Amino acid sequence: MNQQRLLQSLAGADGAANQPPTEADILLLQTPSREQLQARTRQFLSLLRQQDACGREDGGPWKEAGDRTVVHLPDGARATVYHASGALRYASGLAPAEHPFERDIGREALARLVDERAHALALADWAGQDKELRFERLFRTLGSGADREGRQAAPTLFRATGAWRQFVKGLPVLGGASAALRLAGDGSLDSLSIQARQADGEVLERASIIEAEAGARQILWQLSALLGQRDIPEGLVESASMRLGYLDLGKRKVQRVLAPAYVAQIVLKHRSTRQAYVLAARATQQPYLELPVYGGGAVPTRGRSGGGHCAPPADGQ
Amino acid sequence: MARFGVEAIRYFSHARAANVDSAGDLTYTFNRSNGLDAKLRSAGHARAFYWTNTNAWETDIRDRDQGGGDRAWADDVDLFWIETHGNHDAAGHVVLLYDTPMSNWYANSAQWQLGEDWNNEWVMAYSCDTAALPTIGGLWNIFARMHIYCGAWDLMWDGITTDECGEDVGDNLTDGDTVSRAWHDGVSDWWVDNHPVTVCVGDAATWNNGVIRWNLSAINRDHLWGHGSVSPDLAPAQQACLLWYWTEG
Repeated sequence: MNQQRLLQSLAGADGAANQPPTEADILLLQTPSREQLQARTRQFLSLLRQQDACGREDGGPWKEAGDRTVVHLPDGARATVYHASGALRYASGLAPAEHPFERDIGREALARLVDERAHALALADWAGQDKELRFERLFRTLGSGADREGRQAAPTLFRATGAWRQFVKGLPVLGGASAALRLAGDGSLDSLSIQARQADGEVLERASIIEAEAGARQILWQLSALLGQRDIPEGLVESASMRLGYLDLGKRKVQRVLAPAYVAQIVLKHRSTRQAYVLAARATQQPYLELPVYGGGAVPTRGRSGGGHCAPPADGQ
Repeated sequence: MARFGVEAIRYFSHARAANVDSAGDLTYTFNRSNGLDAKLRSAGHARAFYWTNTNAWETDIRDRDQGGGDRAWADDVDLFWIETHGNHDAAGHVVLLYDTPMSNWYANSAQWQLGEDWNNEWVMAYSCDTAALPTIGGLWNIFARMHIYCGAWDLMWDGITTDECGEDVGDNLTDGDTVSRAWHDGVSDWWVDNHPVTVCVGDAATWNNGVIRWNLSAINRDHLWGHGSVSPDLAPAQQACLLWYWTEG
Protein backbone atom coordinates (compact mmCIF):
# COMPACT_ATOMS: atom_id res chain seq x y z
CA MET A 1 0.00 0.00 0.00
CA ASN A 2 1.51 3.32 -1.05
CA GLN A 3 0.94 6.68 0.62
CA GLN A 4 -1.98 7.68 -1.60
CA ARG A 5 -3.74 4.35 -1.14
CA LEU A 6 -3.19 4.54 2.60
CA LEU A 7 -4.74 7.98 2.63
CA GLN A 8 -7.74 6.73 0.67
CA SER A 9 -7.98 3.66 2.85
CA LEU A 10 -8.09 5.74 6.01
CA ALA A 11 -10.48 8.32 4.64
CA GLY A 12 -12.85 5.70 3.30
CA ALA A 13 -12.38 3.06 5.95
CA ASP A 14 -15.80 3.42 7.50
CA GLY A 15 -19.01 4.96 6.41
CA ALA A 16 -19.04 7.51 9.20
CA ALA A 17 -15.53 8.65 8.40
CA ASN A 18 -16.16 8.66 4.68
CA GLN A 19 -19.16 10.90 4.97
CA PRO A 20 -18.84 12.50 8.36
CA PRO A 21 -21.51 14.79 9.69
CA THR A 22 -20.76 18.39 8.80
CA GLU A 23 -21.22 19.52 12.38
CA ALA A 24 -21.22 18.08 15.89
CA ASP A 25 -21.82 19.39 19.39
CA ILE A 26 -18.89 20.05 21.68
CA LEU A 27 -20.17 18.64 24.95
CA LEU A 28 -19.16 19.94 28.33
CA LEU A 29 -18.12 17.24 30.79
CA GLN A 30 -18.49 17.29 34.54
CA THR A 31 -15.35 16.96 36.57
CA PRO A 32 -16.79 14.95 39.42
CA SER A 33 -16.67 16.50 42.88
CA ARG A 34 -15.64 14.46 45.89
CA GLU A 35 -19.30 14.14 46.89
CA GLN A 36 -20.32 13.06 43.40
CA LEU A 37 -17.58 10.43 43.39
CA GLN A 38 -18.81 9.11 46.72
CA ALA A 39 -22.39 8.98 45.50
CA ARG A 40 -21.34 7.26 42.30
CA THR A 41 -19.31 4.71 44.24
CA ARG A 42 -22.25 3.98 46.57
CA GLN A 43 -24.49 3.47 43.53
CA PHE A 44 -21.88 1.08 42.11
CA LEU A 45 -21.66 -0.83 45.39
CA SER A 46 -25.42 -1.11 45.44
CA LEU A 47 -25.29 -2.62 41.97
CA LEU A 48 -22.63 -5.08 43.13
CA ARG A 49 -24.72 -5.99 46.15
CA GLN A 50 -27.48 -7.10 43.78
CA GLN A 51 -24.91 -9.48 42.29
CA ASP A 52 -23.91 -10.78 45.74
CA ALA A 53 -20.48 -9.28 45.12
CA CYS A 54 -20.56 -6.86 48.02
CA GLY A 55 -21.66 -7.59 51.56
CA ARG A 56 -21.97 -4.45 53.63
CA GLU A 57 -23.85 -1.37 52.53
CA ASP A 58 -20.69 0.72 52.15
CA GLY A 59 -18.65 -2.28 50.99
CA GLY A 60 -15.81 -2.14 53.48
CA PRO A 61 -12.91 0.18 54.23
CA TRP A 62 -12.48 3.01 51.70
CA LYS A 63 -8.84 3.80 50.98
CA GLU A 64 -7.72 6.81 48.98
CA ALA A 65 -4.70 5.89 46.89
CA GLY A 66 -3.44 8.75 44.75
CA ASP A 67 -5.56 8.98 41.63
CA ARG A 68 -8.30 6.64 42.89
CA THR A 69 -10.21 5.37 45.91
CA VAL A 70 -10.34 1.64 46.55
CA VAL A 71 -13.11 -0.06 48.51
CA HIS A 72 -12.08 -3.45 49.83
CA LEU A 73 -14.90 -5.98 49.63
CA PRO A 74 -15.34 -9.50 51.04
CA ASP A 75 -13.36 -12.43 49.60
CA GLY A 76 -10.53 -10.30 48.26
CA ALA A 77 -12.72 -8.33 45.86
CA ARG A 78 -12.50 -4.56 45.46
CA ALA A 79 -14.24 -1.62 43.86
CA THR A 80 -12.28 1.35 42.54
CA VAL A 81 -13.33 4.84 41.55
CA TYR A 82 -10.97 7.05 39.54
CA HIS A 83 -11.01 10.64 40.74
CA ALA A 84 -10.32 12.39 37.43
CA SER A 85 -13.09 10.75 35.43
CA GLY A 86 -15.45 8.99 37.82
CA ALA A 87 -14.68 5.69 36.05
CA LEU A 88 -15.54 2.64 38.13
CA ARG A 89 -14.10 -0.81 38.32
CA TYR A 90 -14.95 -3.98 40.21
CA ALA A 91 -12.50 -6.86 40.48
CA SER A 92 -13.51 -10.10 42.16
CA GLY A 93 -11.05 -11.99 44.31
CA LEU A 94 -11.23 -15.00 41.99
CA ALA A 95 -7.92 -16.55 40.98
CA PRO A 96 -7.41 -16.73 37.18
CA ALA A 97 -8.24 -20.42 36.89
CA GLU A 98 -11.04 -20.55 39.46
CA HIS A 99 -14.46 -21.60 38.16
CA PRO A 100 -13.70 -22.45 34.52
CA PHE A 101 -16.45 -23.17 32.02
CA GLU A 102 -17.24 -26.88 31.90
CA ARG A 103 -17.03 -26.71 28.10
CA ASP A 104 -16.58 -24.13 25.39
CA ILE A 105 -20.13 -23.14 24.50
CA GLY A 106 -19.13 -21.06 21.49
CA ARG A 107 -18.86 -17.34 20.89
CA GLU A 108 -22.54 -16.71 20.15
CA ALA A 109 -23.69 -18.33 23.36
CA LEU A 110 -21.02 -16.47 25.33
CA ALA A 111 -22.09 -13.18 23.77
CA ARG A 112 -25.65 -13.93 24.84
CA LEU A 113 -24.47 -14.70 28.37
CA VAL A 114 -22.60 -11.43 28.80
CA ASP A 115 -25.43 -9.49 27.17
CA GLU A 116 -27.99 -11.01 29.52
CA ARG A 117 -25.84 -10.06 32.47
CA ALA A 118 -25.44 -6.54 31.12
CA HIS A 119 -29.22 -6.23 31.01
CA ALA A 120 -29.56 -7.62 34.53
CA LEU A 121 -27.04 -5.03 35.71
CA ALA A 122 -28.84 -2.28 33.77
CA LEU A 123 -25.46 -1.29 32.34
CA ALA A 124 -27.15 0.96 29.79
CA ASP A 125 -28.28 3.26 32.63
CA TRP A 126 -24.63 4.19 33.22
CA ALA A 127 -24.31 5.56 29.70
CA GLY A 128 -26.21 8.66 30.81
CA GLN A 129 -29.23 10.55 29.56
CA ASP A 130 -29.72 10.64 25.78
CA LYS A 131 -26.83 8.25 25.31
CA GLU A 132 -26.64 4.63 24.24
CA LEU A 133 -24.46 1.71 25.13
CA ARG A 134 -23.92 -0.67 22.22
CA PHE A 135 -22.31 -4.10 22.41
CA GLU A 136 -18.96 -4.03 20.60
CA ARG A 137 -17.05 -7.26 21.03
CA LEU A 138 -16.44 -10.42 22.99
CA PHE A 139 -13.12 -11.55 24.44
CA ARG A 140 -12.36 -15.05 25.70
CA THR A 141 -9.65 -16.14 28.11
CA LEU A 142 -8.39 -19.71 27.74
CA GLY A 143 -5.61 -21.90 29.05
CA SER A 144 -3.68 -24.90 27.80
CA GLY A 145 -0.46 -26.75 28.42
CA ALA A 146 1.98 -29.29 27.07
CA ASP A 147 4.40 -31.76 28.58
CA ARG A 148 8.05 -32.37 27.73
CA GLU A 149 7.07 -34.78 24.98
CA GLY A 150 4.90 -32.16 23.34
CA ARG A 151 1.57 -33.72 24.30
CA GLN A 152 -0.86 -30.84 24.49
CA ALA A 153 -3.89 -30.59 26.77
CA ALA A 154 -7.23 -29.50 25.34
CA PRO A 155 -7.83 -25.77 25.92
CA THR A 156 -9.98 -24.77 28.88
CA LEU A 157 -12.23 -21.73 28.67
CA PHE A 158 -11.90 -19.66 31.83
CA ARG A 159 -13.52 -16.29 31.22
CA ALA A 160 -15.82 -14.45 28.82
CA THR A 161 -15.60 -10.66 28.62
CA GLY A 162 -18.11 -8.43 26.87
CA ALA A 163 -17.28 -4.86 25.87
CA TRP A 164 -19.73 -2.05 25.13
CA ARG A 165 -19.34 1.41 23.63
CA GLN A 166 -21.12 4.61 24.55
CA PHE A 167 -22.72 6.57 21.72
CA VAL A 168 -23.58 10.23 22.11
CA LYS A 169 -25.83 11.81 19.49
CA GLY A 170 -24.97 9.02 17.10
CA LEU A 171 -21.19 9.28 17.51
CA PRO A 172 -19.18 6.63 19.39
CA VAL A 173 -17.05 7.69 22.33
CA LEU A 174 -13.74 6.18 21.25
CA GLY A 175 -11.10 4.96 23.68
CA GLY A 176 -11.08 2.06 26.09
CA ALA A 177 -14.40 0.21 26.30
CA SER A 178 -17.13 2.36 27.88
CA ALA A 179 -18.22 -0.71 29.82
CA ALA A 180 -16.83 -4.21 30.13
CA LEU A 181 -17.91 -7.17 32.19
CA ARG A 182 -16.28 -10.55 32.63
CA LEU A 183 -17.94 -13.75 33.71
CA ALA A 184 -16.45 -16.90 35.18
CA GLY A 185 -17.69 -20.34 34.13
CA ASP A 186 -20.13 -20.59 37.04
CA GLY A 187 -21.74 -17.32 36.01
CA SER A 188 -20.16 -15.26 38.77
CA LEU A 189 -19.14 -11.71 38.00
CA ASP A 190 -15.35 -11.61 37.78
CA SER A 191 -14.93 -7.97 36.79
CA LEU A 192 -16.92 -4.95 35.74
CA SER A 193 -15.69 -1.59 34.51
CA ILE A 194 -17.65 1.52 33.60
CA GLN A 195 -15.77 4.26 31.85
CA ALA A 196 -18.62 6.36 30.46
CA ARG A 197 -18.02 10.05 31.11
CA GLN A 198 -20.80 11.99 32.79
CA ALA A 199 -22.15 14.83 30.67
CA ASP A 200 -25.32 16.69 31.57
CA GLY A 201 -26.07 17.57 27.97
CA GLU A 202 -24.69 21.09 28.14
CA VAL A 203 -23.29 22.11 24.78
CA LEU A 204 -20.29 24.42 24.54
CA GLU A 205 -20.97 25.08 20.89
CA ARG A 206 -21.65 23.41 17.59
CA ALA A 207 -18.49 22.89 15.57
CA SER A 208 -17.79 22.11 11.94
CA ILE A 209 -16.27 18.69 11.24
CA ILE A 210 -13.33 18.62 8.87
CA GLU A 211 -13.40 16.15 6.00
CA ALA A 212 -12.17 12.62 6.56
CA GLU A 213 -9.31 13.13 4.08
CA ALA A 214 -8.06 16.10 6.12
CA GLY A 215 -8.16 13.92 9.24
CA ALA A 216 -6.34 11.13 7.43
CA ARG A 217 -3.63 13.60 6.34
CA GLN A 218 -3.00 14.52 9.99
CA ILE A 219 -2.69 10.82 10.83
CA LEU A 220 -0.23 10.33 7.96
CA TRP A 221 1.93 13.22 9.19
CA GLN A 222 2.10 11.61 12.60
CA LEU A 223 2.95 8.25 11.06
CA SER A 224 5.68 9.75 8.87
CA ALA A 225 7.25 11.45 11.89
CA LEU A 226 7.21 8.21 13.86
CA LEU A 227 8.82 6.30 11.02
CA GLY A 228 11.40 9.01 10.40
CA GLN A 229 10.46 9.07 6.72
CA ARG A 230 8.76 11.64 4.59
CA ASP A 231 6.82 9.03 2.63
CA ILE A 232 5.38 5.77 3.91
CA PRO A 233 7.24 3.01 2.06
CA GLU A 234 5.27 0.69 -0.22
CA GLY A 235 4.36 -2.61 1.43
CA LEU A 236 4.82 -1.43 5.01
CA VAL A 237 1.15 -1.12 5.97
CA GLU A 238 -0.54 -4.39 6.85
CA SER A 239 -3.91 -2.86 7.72
CA ALA A 240 -5.37 0.58 8.38
CA SER A 241 -8.73 1.90 9.48
CA MET A 242 -10.06 5.17 10.87
CA ARG A 243 -13.19 6.14 12.77
CA LEU A 244 -14.81 9.42 13.64
CA GLY A 245 -16.05 9.77 17.19
CA TYR A 246 -15.79 11.62 20.43
CA LEU A 247 -12.53 10.79 22.17
CA ASP A 248 -12.19 9.75 25.80
CA LEU A 249 -8.64 10.39 27.01
CA GLY A 250 -8.70 7.71 29.70
CA LYS A 251 -9.89 7.14 33.21
CA ARG A 252 -7.01 8.89 34.95
CA LYS A 253 -7.34 12.15 33.03
CA VAL A 254 -9.49 15.15 33.71
CA GLN A 255 -11.32 16.03 30.52
CA ARG A 256 -13.21 19.25 30.02
CA VAL A 257 -15.12 18.43 26.85
CA LEU A 258 -16.05 15.64 24.49
CA ALA A 259 -14.92 16.77 21.07
CA PRO A 260 -14.85 14.86 17.77
CA ALA A 261 -11.62 13.22 16.67
CA TYR A 262 -10.47 10.87 13.95
CA VAL A 263 -8.88 7.79 15.50
CA ALA A 264 -6.87 5.43 13.30
CA GLN A 265 -5.63 1.91 13.93
CA ILE A 266 -2.63 1.08 11.77
CA VAL A 267 -0.63 -2.16 11.68
CA LEU A 268 2.81 -2.12 10.09
CA LYS A 269 4.97 -5.05 9.02
CA HIS A 270 8.69 -4.37 9.09
CA ARG A 271 11.52 -6.70 8.10
CA SER A 272 11.75 -8.35 11.50
CA THR A 273 8.91 -6.91 13.60
CA ARG A 274 5.29 -5.80 13.41
CA GLN A 275 3.76 -2.88 15.23
CA ALA A 276 0.32 -1.48 15.89
CA TYR A 277 -0.50 2.20 16.40
CA VAL A 278 -3.61 3.95 17.63
CA LEU A 279 -3.27 7.52 16.37
CA ALA A 280 -5.72 10.34 16.94
CA ALA A 281 -6.24 13.68 15.20
CA ARG A 282 -8.79 16.33 15.91
CA ALA A 283 -11.81 16.46 13.64
CA THR A 284 -12.59 20.14 14.16
CA GLN A 285 -10.86 23.26 12.92
CA GLN A 286 -10.64 24.61 16.44
CA PRO A 287 -8.65 22.68 19.06
CA TYR A 288 -11.16 21.98 21.83
CA LEU A 289 -9.18 19.09 23.27
CA GLU A 290 -5.44 18.81 23.56
CA LEU A 291 -4.37 15.49 22.09
CA PRO A 292 -1.08 14.29 23.61
CA VAL A 293 -0.07 12.71 20.33
CA TYR A 294 3.40 11.49 21.22
CA GLY A 295 3.05 10.64 24.89
CA GLY A 296 5.24 11.66 27.82
CA GLY A 297 9.00 11.55 28.35
CA ALA A 298 11.04 9.17 30.44
CA VAL A 299 11.65 9.77 34.10
CA PRO A 300 15.05 11.48 34.56
CA THR A 301 17.72 8.83 34.84
CA ARG A 302 21.47 8.81 34.68
CA GLY A 303 23.28 7.94 31.48
CA ARG A 304 24.94 4.56 31.28
CA SER A 305 28.61 4.14 30.63
CA GLY A 306 29.32 2.07 27.54
CA GLY A 307 31.24 -1.14 27.26
CA GLY A 308 31.34 -3.12 30.45
CA HIS A 309 28.68 -4.06 32.94
CA CYS A 310 28.49 -1.81 35.93
CA ALA A 311 26.75 -2.77 39.13
CA PRO A 312 23.34 -1.25 39.75
CA PRO A 313 23.69 2.02 41.65
CA ALA A 314 22.95 1.85 45.34
CA ASP A 315 20.35 4.61 45.14
CA GLY A 316 18.25 2.70 42.62
CA GLN A 317 19.77 4.72 39.74
CA MET B 1 8.65 -6.35 49.12
CA ALA B 2 9.85 -6.70 45.55
CA ARG B 3 12.81 -5.34 43.61
CA PHE B 4 12.04 -4.45 40.04
CA GLY B 5 13.83 -3.20 36.96
CA VAL B 6 12.50 -1.33 33.95
CA GLU B 7 13.80 -1.04 30.40
CA ALA B 8 11.87 1.04 27.88
CA ILE B 9 12.81 1.92 24.32
CA ARG B 10 10.79 4.53 22.53
CA TYR B 11 13.10 5.70 19.75
CA PHE B 12 14.56 3.44 17.07
CA SER B 13 16.44 5.96 14.95
CA HIS B 14 19.77 4.14 15.33
CA ALA B 15 18.28 0.80 14.32
CA ARG B 16 16.70 2.44 11.29
CA ALA B 17 19.89 4.29 10.35
CA ALA B 18 21.86 1.06 10.55
CA ASN B 19 19.22 -0.57 8.33
CA VAL B 20 18.52 -3.16 11.02
CA ASP B 21 14.76 -2.68 10.82
CA SER B 22 12.35 0.02 9.67
CA ALA B 23 10.57 -0.07 13.06
CA GLY B 24 8.86 3.19 13.93
CA ASP B 25 9.32 5.13 17.12
CA LEU B 26 6.74 4.31 19.75
CA THR B 27 4.46 6.92 21.31
CA TYR B 28 3.33 6.06 24.84
CA THR B 29 6.26 3.89 25.94
CA PHE B 30 7.20 6.10 28.86
CA ASN B 31 3.61 6.69 29.94
CA ARG B 32 3.42 2.95 30.49
CA SER B 33 6.86 2.34 31.98
CA ASN B 34 6.77 5.48 34.15
CA GLY B 35 3.30 4.47 35.27
CA LEU B 36 4.39 1.02 36.39
CA ASP B 37 7.49 2.48 38.03
CA ALA B 38 5.52 5.12 39.95
CA LYS B 39 2.84 2.72 41.13
CA LEU B 40 5.29 0.09 42.37
CA ARG B 41 7.51 2.64 44.09
CA SER B 42 4.58 4.37 45.77
CA ALA B 43 3.62 0.98 47.23
CA GLY B 44 7.07 0.60 48.72
CA HIS B 45 8.76 -1.61 46.14
CA ALA B 46 12.35 -0.86 45.21
CA ARG B 47 13.41 0.11 41.72
CA ALA B 48 16.80 -1.43 41.01
CA PHE B 49 17.27 0.19 37.60
CA TYR B 50 15.40 2.04 34.88
CA TRP B 51 17.20 2.09 31.53
CA THR B 52 15.78 3.91 28.53
CA ASN B 53 16.43 4.02 24.78
CA THR B 54 20.10 3.33 23.96
CA ASN B 55 20.83 2.66 27.64
CA ALA B 56 18.81 -0.54 27.39
CA TRP B 57 20.95 -3.44 26.15
CA GLU B 58 20.17 -6.96 25.04
CA THR B 59 22.91 -8.28 27.31
CA ASP B 60 20.85 -7.17 30.32
CA ILE B 61 18.63 -10.21 29.90
CA ARG B 62 21.11 -12.56 28.21
CA ASP B 63 22.35 -15.31 30.49
CA ARG B 64 25.79 -14.93 32.00
CA ASP B 65 26.73 -18.38 30.65
CA GLN B 66 25.96 -17.02 27.17
CA GLY B 67 28.14 -13.95 27.61
CA GLY B 68 25.37 -11.71 28.94
CA GLY B 69 24.95 -9.73 32.11
CA ASP B 70 21.56 -10.89 33.37
CA ARG B 71 22.91 -11.62 36.83
CA ALA B 72 23.39 -7.89 37.41
CA TRP B 73 20.13 -6.78 35.74
CA ALA B 74 17.08 -8.79 34.62
CA ASP B 75 17.99 -11.76 36.80
CA ASP B 76 18.85 -9.59 39.76
CA VAL B 77 15.27 -8.37 40.26
CA ASP B 78 11.98 -10.06 41.10
CA LEU B 79 10.10 -8.32 38.29
CA PHE B 80 11.60 -7.15 35.01
CA TRP B 81 9.46 -4.92 32.75
CA ILE B 82 10.57 -4.26 29.21
CA GLU B 83 8.92 -2.37 26.39
CA THR B 84 10.26 -2.44 22.83
CA HIS B 85 9.43 -3.97 19.45
CA GLY B 86 9.20 -7.73 19.53
CA ASN B 87 8.72 -10.89 17.55
CA HIS B 88 9.55 -14.58 17.83
CA ASP B 89 11.73 -16.85 15.72
CA ALA B 90 10.69 -20.10 14.04
CA ALA B 91 11.57 -22.05 17.18
CA GLY B 92 9.33 -19.87 19.32
CA HIS B 93 12.09 -17.90 21.02
CA VAL B 94 11.36 -14.31 22.02
CA VAL B 95 13.04 -11.71 19.80
CA LEU B 96 13.37 -8.13 21.07
CA LEU B 97 14.73 -5.16 19.13
CA TYR B 98 17.13 -2.67 20.76
CA ASP B 99 18.29 0.70 19.47
CA THR B 100 21.94 0.00 20.11
CA PRO B 101 24.04 -3.08 19.34
CA MET B 102 25.23 -3.72 22.85
CA SER B 103 26.23 -6.38 21.94
CA ASN B 104 23.46 -7.26 19.46
CA TRP B 105 20.56 -5.32 17.98
CA TYR B 106 18.26 -8.19 18.92
CA ALA B 107 17.82 -10.21 22.08
CA ASN B 108 16.89 -13.85 21.52
CA SER B 109 15.46 -15.86 24.38
CA ALA B 110 17.41 -18.93 23.25
CA GLN B 111 20.12 -17.23 25.31
CA TRP B 112 18.01 -16.52 28.39
CA GLN B 113 17.87 -18.51 31.61
CA LEU B 114 16.10 -16.64 34.35
CA GLY B 115 15.70 -17.35 38.03
CA GLU B 116 18.84 -19.46 38.29
CA ASP B 117 19.98 -17.63 41.39
CA TRP B 118 16.47 -17.56 42.83
CA ASN B 119 16.09 -13.93 41.86
CA ASN B 120 13.88 -13.28 38.86
CA GLU B 121 10.29 -14.47 39.18
CA TRP B 122 8.47 -12.49 36.52
CA VAL B 123 9.23 -10.90 33.16
CA MET B 124 6.70 -8.56 31.56
CA ALA B 125 7.31 -7.66 27.92
CA TYR B 126 5.03 -5.03 26.37
CA SER B 127 6.00 -6.01 22.82
CA CYS B 128 4.26 -7.60 19.86
CA ASP B 129 4.32 -11.29 18.95
CA THR B 130 6.84 -12.53 21.52
CA ALA B 131 4.91 -15.67 22.51
CA ALA B 132 3.06 -17.00 19.47
CA LEU B 133 0.74 -19.82 20.51
CA PRO B 134 1.77 -22.42 17.87
CA THR B 135 5.43 -22.23 18.92
CA ILE B 136 5.02 -21.30 22.57
CA GLY B 137 7.03 -24.36 23.65
CA GLY B 138 10.11 -22.45 22.53
CA LEU B 139 9.89 -20.43 25.74
CA TRP B 140 10.66 -23.38 27.99
CA ASN B 141 14.39 -22.79 28.29
CA ILE B 142 13.96 -19.37 29.95
CA PHE B 143 12.40 -20.94 33.06
CA ALA B 144 15.37 -21.70 35.29
CA ARG B 145 13.27 -21.17 38.45
CA MET B 146 11.64 -18.08 36.96
CA HIS B 147 7.86 -18.24 37.47
CA ILE B 148 5.87 -16.42 34.77
CA TYR B 149 6.56 -14.81 31.41
CA CYS B 150 3.95 -12.16 30.58
CA GLY B 151 3.90 -11.26 26.91
CA ALA B 152 1.76 -11.14 23.80
CA TRP B 153 0.79 -13.91 21.40
CA ASP B 154 0.14 -11.37 18.59
CA LEU B 155 0.03 -7.56 18.38
CA MET B 156 0.28 -5.16 21.31
CA TRP B 157 -1.09 -1.71 20.53
CA ASP B 158 0.72 1.54 21.15
CA GLY B 159 -1.47 4.58 21.38
CA ILE B 160 -3.79 6.87 23.14
CA THR B 161 -5.97 4.11 24.60
CA THR B 162 -3.17 1.97 26.02
CA ASP B 163 -1.16 4.73 27.71
CA GLU B 164 -2.39 3.77 31.19
CA CYS B 165 -1.45 0.08 30.91
CA GLY B 166 1.63 0.44 33.10
CA GLU B 167 -0.32 2.18 35.84
CA ASP B 168 -3.07 -0.42 35.58
CA VAL B 169 -0.65 -3.35 35.86
CA GLY B 170 1.06 -1.63 38.82
CA ASP B 171 -2.23 -0.92 40.59
CA ASN B 172 -3.43 -4.47 40.00
CA LEU B 173 -0.23 -5.96 41.39
CA THR B 174 -0.25 -3.82 44.53
CA ASP B 175 -4.00 -4.26 45.06
CA GLY B 176 -3.40 -7.98 45.44
CA ASP B 177 -4.28 -9.43 42.05
CA THR B 178 -2.33 -12.43 40.89
CA VAL B 179 0.52 -11.55 38.54
CA SER B 180 -1.30 -13.24 35.66
CA ARG B 181 -4.53 -11.34 36.26
CA ALA B 182 -2.64 -8.10 36.76
CA TRP B 183 -1.13 -8.50 33.29
CA HIS B 184 -4.26 -9.62 31.44
CA ASP B 185 -6.46 -6.92 32.95
CA GLY B 186 -3.80 -4.24 33.02
CA VAL B 187 -2.84 -4.35 29.36
CA SER B 188 -6.42 -4.72 28.10
CA ASP B 189 -8.53 -1.67 27.33
CA TRP B 190 -11.19 -3.98 25.88
CA TRP B 191 -11.17 -2.00 22.63
CA VAL B 192 -7.98 -2.87 20.80
CA ASP B 193 -6.97 -6.50 20.85
CA ASN B 194 -3.76 -6.66 22.89
CA HIS B 195 -3.36 -10.46 22.93
CA PRO B 196 -1.96 -10.89 26.45
CA VAL B 197 -0.54 -14.28 27.39
CA THR B 198 1.03 -15.55 30.60
CA VAL B 199 3.28 -18.60 30.54
CA CYS B 200 4.61 -20.69 33.42
CA VAL B 201 6.06 -24.12 34.10
CA GLY B 202 4.46 -26.75 36.32
CA ASP B 203 5.47 -29.96 38.04
CA ALA B 204 4.14 -33.47 37.44
CA ALA B 205 1.34 -33.00 39.96
CA THR B 206 0.20 -29.89 38.11
CA TRP B 207 0.36 -31.60 34.70
CA ASN B 208 -1.54 -34.58 36.12
CA ASN B 209 -1.24 -36.58 32.88
CA GLY B 210 -2.80 -33.80 30.85
CA VAL B 211 -5.72 -33.10 33.19
CA ILE B 212 -4.11 -29.89 34.35
CA ARG B 213 -4.52 -28.92 37.99
CA TRP B 214 -4.54 -25.19 37.35
CA ASN B 215 -5.00 -24.43 41.04
CA LEU B 216 -1.38 -25.53 41.61
CA SER B 217 0.06 -23.37 38.85
CA ALA B 218 1.99 -20.13 39.24
CA ILE B 219 -0.57 -18.53 36.91
CA ASN B 220 -3.20 -19.17 39.56
CA ARG B 221 -1.08 -18.60 42.67
CA ASP B 222 1.62 -16.00 42.14
CA HIS B 223 1.24 -12.49 43.54
CA LEU B 224 3.81 -9.74 43.73
CA TRP B 225 5.91 -10.10 46.87
CA GLY B 226 4.09 -8.47 49.78
CA HIS B 227 0.64 -8.76 48.19
CA GLY B 228 -0.21 -12.45 48.50
CA SER B 229 1.20 -15.91 48.06
CA VAL B 230 3.98 -16.84 45.66
CA SER B 231 4.40 -20.39 44.37
CA PRO B 232 7.68 -22.22 45.02
CA ASP B 233 10.50 -22.07 42.48
CA LEU B 234 10.66 -25.02 40.14
CA ALA B 235 14.10 -26.18 39.10
CA PRO B 236 14.32 -27.48 35.52
CA ALA B 237 14.45 -31.09 36.75
CA GLN B 238 11.07 -30.59 38.46
CA GLN B 239 9.38 -29.06 35.43
CA ALA B 240 6.94 -31.45 33.78
CA CYS B 241 4.83 -29.06 31.75
CA LEU B 242 4.53 -25.63 30.24
CA LEU B 243 1.21 -23.86 30.83
CA TRP B 244 -0.15 -20.84 29.03
CA TYR B 245 -3.21 -18.66 29.60
CA TRP B 246 -4.29 -16.21 26.94
CA THR B 247 -7.00 -13.70 26.09
CA GLU B 248 -8.34 -13.45 22.54
CA GLY B 249 -10.79 -11.06 20.96
